[in-house]
Amino acid sequence: MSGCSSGSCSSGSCSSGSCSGGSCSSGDCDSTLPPGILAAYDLEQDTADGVLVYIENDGRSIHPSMKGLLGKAREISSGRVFGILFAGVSGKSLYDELFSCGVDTIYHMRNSSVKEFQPVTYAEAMADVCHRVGPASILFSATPQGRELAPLVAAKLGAGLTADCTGLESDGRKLIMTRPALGGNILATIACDTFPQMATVRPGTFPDPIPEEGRRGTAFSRPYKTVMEKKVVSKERYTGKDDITSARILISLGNGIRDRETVDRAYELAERIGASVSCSRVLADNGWMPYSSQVGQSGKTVSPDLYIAFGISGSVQHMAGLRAKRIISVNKDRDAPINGYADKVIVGDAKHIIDAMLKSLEE
Amino acid sequence: MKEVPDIDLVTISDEGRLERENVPSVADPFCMMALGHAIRMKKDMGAHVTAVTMGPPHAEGMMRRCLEYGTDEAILLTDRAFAGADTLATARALGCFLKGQNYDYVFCGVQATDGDTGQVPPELSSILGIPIYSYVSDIDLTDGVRMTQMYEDECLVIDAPPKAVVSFIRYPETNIPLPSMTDFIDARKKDVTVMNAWMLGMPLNMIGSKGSRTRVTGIATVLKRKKEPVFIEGNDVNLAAKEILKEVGI
Repeated sequence: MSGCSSGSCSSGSCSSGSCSGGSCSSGDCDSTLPPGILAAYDLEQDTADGVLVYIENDGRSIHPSMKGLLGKAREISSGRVFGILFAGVSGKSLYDELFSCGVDTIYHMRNSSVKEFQPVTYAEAMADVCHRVGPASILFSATPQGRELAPLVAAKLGAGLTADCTGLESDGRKLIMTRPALGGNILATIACDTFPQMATVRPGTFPDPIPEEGRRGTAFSRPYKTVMEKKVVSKERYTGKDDITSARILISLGNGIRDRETVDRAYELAERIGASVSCSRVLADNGWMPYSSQVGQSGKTVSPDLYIAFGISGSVQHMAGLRAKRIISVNKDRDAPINGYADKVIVGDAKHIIDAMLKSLEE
Repeated sequence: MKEVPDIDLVTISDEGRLERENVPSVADPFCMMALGHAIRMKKDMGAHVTAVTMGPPHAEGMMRRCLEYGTDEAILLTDRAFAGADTLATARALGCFLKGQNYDYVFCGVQATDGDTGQVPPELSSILGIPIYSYVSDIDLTDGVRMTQMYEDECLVIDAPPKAVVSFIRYPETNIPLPSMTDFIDARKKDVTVMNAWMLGMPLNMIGSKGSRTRVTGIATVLKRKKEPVFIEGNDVNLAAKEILKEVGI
């Protein structure tokens, strides 16, 4: 552990209420470690092994990006793959799903009073598990949750953390991480000096593994306590949200869209042709589209089969989030940067062409 | 606050190199959101606002602008020993400064446009031992302090009592209160306070590249293969529409 002890990892405090060693699997074991033992139990640099993955879930099912991440964890780990799971999801079918994706050991953290994602509490509990497990690497999906939780854990462990990786390689223990920088024009390779090595991985970067049916593993249930609980007053799911990261066809709108009706028309068109609607930063900034539909470096990475860009100029930041198989660009500007990536360019007005497409579908 | 190269002005040469020369540095737009909320809290409820950055000496210009926007103080943490800091070493330096201060909230941008890591605010909160509220779009001061957090597919309203790190996202409705003439005049009477690692009392092995746990081992420019697209004139919108629908498979 680093010299940054003040305020970050509190000795002893994380030990109460958790089981000693890995032998105890039932939830209500309350044997406590002597105070201060976790502080003395430094992460062993020479023996750190295996990969620990934070399994993000919404209380019903695991996040769509998890399977790909677990597959990669299996591939780069010379040792075991540990999954750490919080919140209400339970049941054998979930465990089996995780085992089939390559997880060997699941730490299922249980606390009936915690109803939603509690970053500080989760980080405390994760740091505790990491101290006991001693993984060589800790991986998160680079979702809003993962990107909030990972740095909290990293600061507690004094570990190096790389954000938003798009590539991971390993010799079994030592990780080489790749991440795009400056609008995706540069790929930086980054290594950590110490164990554990931590990374958040851009969702959708790695393909889902072929599940290995019948693969077995171990699941431990562990209690944890709440720390600095966040009081949620109200909670609202975004309505009308469609997941642009899994869409096969995307209709994407940019600065060339000058009125709100065209946005509505684009949604109508998308419904007719079985597509989803995404946008560039401008339309999210002016409030015509939700930020959850934004493609690009500060938005989401999408990999549809077909990307139809209406009035998108194609800034480096936008292109950083785009991995389409085929791109059609509809733009008045013949020299728009996006045309350099497009397979087909239609030089024309986006609004009129959207209208014409709807009309043609009606006929 | 963080000073970043104006990424909108960075262009790519034909060889795929980034043309960064002569690109001016600007205050990061996410940080400007945080500054805007802080100034609004000052105007609404008389909060005392201090702007702080860790950066090279020329970031003093940005800090002077913070004073013009109406912050009461502006602090520049600058030292050669800070150079090469990764997010953890940066958070430590900021944390060390904040430990000696009296504060209720630490406002930050959710991430910076140059690095896009978004790791400093949570790491800072962990070092200070206080909660983190990330992805905040708005603050409501009518009934205590309530904040709206935007996660991937849900939006939370939370009670946010003092002593917390808050990171702001860009949100269309957020307007940064523009500086008034008196702010400008007041700013002339103030100075940017410059502090180095010694004044913060920081051990040198905790900051800068020595205190970093990650190391950049290589950089490759991505050479994007330029395509030769098929150009279709869209004067005849119906023809163009059919062309696209053909691609869709209809």
